[in-house]
Amino acid sequence: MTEREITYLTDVALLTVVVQAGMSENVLKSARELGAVTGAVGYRVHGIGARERLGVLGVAVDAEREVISILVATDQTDIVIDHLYRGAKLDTPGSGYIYVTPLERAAAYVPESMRQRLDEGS
Amino acid sequence: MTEKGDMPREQSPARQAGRVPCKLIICILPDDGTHKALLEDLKSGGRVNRVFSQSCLGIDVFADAKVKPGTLPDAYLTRLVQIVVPAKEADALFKHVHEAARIDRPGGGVILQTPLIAATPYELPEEPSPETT
Repeated sequence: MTEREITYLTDVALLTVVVQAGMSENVLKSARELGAVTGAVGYRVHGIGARERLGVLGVAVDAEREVISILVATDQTDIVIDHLYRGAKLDTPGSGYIYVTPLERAAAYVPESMRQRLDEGS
Repeated sequence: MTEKGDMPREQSPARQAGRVPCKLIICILPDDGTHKALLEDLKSGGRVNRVFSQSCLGIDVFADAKVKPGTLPDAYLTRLVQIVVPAKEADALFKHVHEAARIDRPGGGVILQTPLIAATPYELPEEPSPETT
């Protein structure tokens, strides 16, 4: 493997969206509409909260949740949160929540052509 | 060891250990076995024992995927690897993991680093000697 410098991506944040199972598509569609995100991963988890609060009726609530993690440019975080919040209808009680994790650094494959453009721009 | 409740919370081992600053390194890797090689590499290096890998679905939201308007590109299996490391070793390990996981290749995934507020140590039990088994 040839020695290459790591191109660090700075000013990015990790946005995590926790929603009811089956709702992740709405989140991803909303994210894609914006085009301000670089990629996402999703996985299913077992959540607690709304199910327990409803007591016996809670059996009707699906405890399964989907978690979507999305990389976002720091300066666009507020816009993306606002858009996803509306897109995933998170203003409905029990539907989910979003949190943002600050990232110190990130790195990914950057094509040579883009690397050259970045060098010329700096 | 004092009885339960005698020790002030600030002096508890968990609190003391949690004061060692740590960072979290997150890798999103393709599901091509890279994560196994990475975990093996970290294990053999002996520097890391707080690491796990899980399966998840990845989607290139920004990819030039040819899909119908209003639909999403197909999601594909990816691996999410999370590593807790002491802060002073984080930068060096970030570079090491970047190389070991071959992030710098098309479709190689992404690596992230973030500070943690607290993390407890994870001590493994000593291996039993052959005489005791």
